[in-house]
Amino acid sequence: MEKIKEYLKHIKISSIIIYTLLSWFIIAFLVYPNINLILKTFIKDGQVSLRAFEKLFSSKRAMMSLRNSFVLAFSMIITVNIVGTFIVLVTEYFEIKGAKILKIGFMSTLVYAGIVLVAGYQFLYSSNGFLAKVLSDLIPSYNVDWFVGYKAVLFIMTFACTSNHMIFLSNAIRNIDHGTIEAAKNMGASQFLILKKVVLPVLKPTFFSITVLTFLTGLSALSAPIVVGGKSFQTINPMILQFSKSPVSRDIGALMAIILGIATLLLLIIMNRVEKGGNYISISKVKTRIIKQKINSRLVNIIIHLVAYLLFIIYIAPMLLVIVFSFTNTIAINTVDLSFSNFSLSNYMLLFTRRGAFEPYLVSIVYSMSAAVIVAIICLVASNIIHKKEGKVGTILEFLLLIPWLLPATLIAMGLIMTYDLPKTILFNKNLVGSPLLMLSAYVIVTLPFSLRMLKAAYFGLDNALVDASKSMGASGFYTFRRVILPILLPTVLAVIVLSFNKLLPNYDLSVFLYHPAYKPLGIVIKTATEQESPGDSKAIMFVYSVILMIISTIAIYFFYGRNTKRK
Amino acid sequence: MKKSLQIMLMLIIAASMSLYAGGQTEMDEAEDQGMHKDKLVIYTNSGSNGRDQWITDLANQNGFNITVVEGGGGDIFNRLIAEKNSPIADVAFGLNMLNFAELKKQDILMKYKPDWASEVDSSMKDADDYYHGIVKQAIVLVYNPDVYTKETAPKDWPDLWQKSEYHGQYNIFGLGGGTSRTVLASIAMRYLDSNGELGISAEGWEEIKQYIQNGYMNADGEDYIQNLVDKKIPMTMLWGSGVIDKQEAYSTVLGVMSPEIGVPFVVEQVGVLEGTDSPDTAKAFVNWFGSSEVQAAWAQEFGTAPANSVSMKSAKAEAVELDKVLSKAQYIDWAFVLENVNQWVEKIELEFVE
Repeated sequence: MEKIKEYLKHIKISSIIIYTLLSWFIIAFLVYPNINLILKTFIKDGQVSLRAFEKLFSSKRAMMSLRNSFVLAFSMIITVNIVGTFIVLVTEYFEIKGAKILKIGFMSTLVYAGIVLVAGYQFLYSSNGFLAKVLSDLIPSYNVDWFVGYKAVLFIMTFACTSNHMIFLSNAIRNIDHGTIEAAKNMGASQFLILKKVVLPVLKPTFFSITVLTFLTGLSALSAPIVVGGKSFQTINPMILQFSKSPVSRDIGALMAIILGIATLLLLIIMNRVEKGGNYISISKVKTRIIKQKINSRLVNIIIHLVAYLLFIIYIAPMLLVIVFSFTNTIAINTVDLSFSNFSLSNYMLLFTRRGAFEPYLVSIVYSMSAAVIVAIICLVASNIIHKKEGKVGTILEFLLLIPWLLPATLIAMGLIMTYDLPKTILFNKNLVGSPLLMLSAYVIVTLPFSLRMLKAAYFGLDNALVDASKSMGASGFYTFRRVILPILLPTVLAVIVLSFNKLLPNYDLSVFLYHPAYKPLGIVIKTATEQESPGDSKAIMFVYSVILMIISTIAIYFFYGRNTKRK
Repeated sequence: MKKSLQIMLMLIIAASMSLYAGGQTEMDEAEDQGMHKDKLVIYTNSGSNGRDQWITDLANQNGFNITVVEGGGGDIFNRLIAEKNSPIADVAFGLNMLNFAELKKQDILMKYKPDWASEVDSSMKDADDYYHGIVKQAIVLVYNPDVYTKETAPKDWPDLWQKSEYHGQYNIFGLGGGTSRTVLASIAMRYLDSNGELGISAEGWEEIKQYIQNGYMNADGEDYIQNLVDKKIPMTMLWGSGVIDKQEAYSTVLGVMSPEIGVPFVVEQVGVLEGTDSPDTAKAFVNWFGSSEVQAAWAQEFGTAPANSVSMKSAKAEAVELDKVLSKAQYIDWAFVLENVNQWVEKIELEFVE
């Protein structure tokens, strides 16, 4: 008792409030609804049902798909890190001609993703695609059927999933102190040695975080395996989605998702262990801005230039095709026919002249932005605590915030509805179902793990000496946070906000269950208009919507992120 | 930096307020016009391509104030079930009989017999008046007439896997959707066995396995009609209004299989939800929406085949034509299918799909 009293004396009221709010949020939105759903899924008629295990492990197809998901995830750790690091180095570290244009190309994955990105790649590489048509005449030995199965999936996923590198690794490189590089040079270190011994070590925490996220992206790959995987390379996520929507098979879907989630958490634990061992702050207290390095060897310079521009073409070509074909119709898209007569603005007109066409954009922008900002605030507070408390509190907090990784979106949505369809004390006897806040809370929940991961990595780049200095000069904790910590973390915070925003904008899986009748979000409109069941030019309309999404996302990136990094 | 954050925050607040205000004025307008003051929330899976707007406008002119919530069929169905304790919707339409039968079983529907109920054939509605048919979709196999003639095309579903020339030539939709499940039901009905696994005989399961493994399972987003036109996969299952839509969109002609045993029909239903705050308005809406005039107008606009026999007469010419070809319906015991279909699909997905 005495001990507790003593301990309590040291705690300030402000931190009590913060801890209370955070605990309330975690219990009310992460633990309670999700545990409730898992229990309801696995307990049938008062008995724990383990039939899901039996069904899953005796299904050849499920085991094969699960295996493929892991193969893909591990392959991607290697390929995405190689390509991602390369494109960041050529845009941020080495002096490359036309780096600004290259950067725009490499950042294209930030604004388009999913099924349309895959469609873009298919245009180019599939057996009746663009390249096949051109190359099979020029090079008779060109194999037009190569773009199927494991290599096609890995090809797409490698170039599609470097967004985190472009944002967070770039941020980290900009934080490197140029003085240390100069010092190493003066001591006679070669360029390669500097890269290996001075630059890369500082980037390690970012690499760890990106690797975990890449692994998760690989495990939960959806569009690429469906479209180009063929019979030989199907992955588990399409099955998860289907099973979690069927009332009798929900337990199997949940079990598969939990397996993927646990695998991700295991990798995370390993990464956390490694991460804790190191020191990732470049030594100097007065950092000088990094200056781009010219590559000394002429041959290497030429090769790197060539590879950089080749990658640029790989990145930009599918997107350009999507934009071009958005002005045509479904038949032209299917036959990759670029005849001039196919072009028209009619699909664009259709989408904007319809009454009520604009509200969904507004709804989705407001919801996604609010959620992204709320998530950023929660994660700032949480990662501050995790960073300060090395012990159990920090670890437990971190893992609690990662709970959403364990369940597919559909089940998270259902957990919320099933838990809060009646007034509950924890929500002050308010009924969440039927409230516009329901969808907002779900948006917040699903974006938490990603944001937390990236912000936590940013904290490792923070020099504690600065914090100590501020405190010893008498600044309060909040003042230090506001004036010292936040400015250093701001680029990452803004990046996290804009990435979460882009990801939430076209959300369908959560929205369809949770949206308030008066506020129909964009994802619903897109999905229902582009389903093959719906009459009309569904495929062309999907392209039009993705171009519009690209434009909104680009504006968001420029507004939140592009300008700030330039001004600094 | 701070400025852009501030601007963004202001924008969000302004937008939220305008959204809120927008909701308010809609409410006010509602009170001004019409006989039905209560606002209705309608759930549907057939709201895309302006259909939601079309019905909202028409309803408005007739004194109803409705908001349409739309989404994929399975999703809207799951949402209705999940919201059981705190229902938001007053009326649901567009989901098929299987879905509505499940809603009825879970006490989510309210009993109501609209005036037009007698104009709908008894096979297309609930015997206890919990839901009634509005749109019927014949589920058919279509083929590329350049590849098969009427003589060489399959005559019934089992031909597809029992005759080796059709192997790998027919497309099967994902088993989550209503069309594919209806075809499955049509096949399963031929092998009923109360002692068999999930109500189907061992022979039946072998047939279903052959059906799945000799078919082509189209990937999400893959264009099966293009595959048919290109002769890559020259046959696919399809729903009735799709035959008309796709012929137009791909400027092509489709051959339609018409089995001796009859064609399975999916009938989209409408029903009032238990727990609605405004049962009288909801019932009035269903009575109006399912009436022969409104259904005829809907059919004219969107090329569907109405379940209402009176409005069928004024449907689009192509729909009437197709209806004649597919006049014979296959008998399907929907109660039995409802009991088992989810387990069938689970078994097929885990054991048969390769």
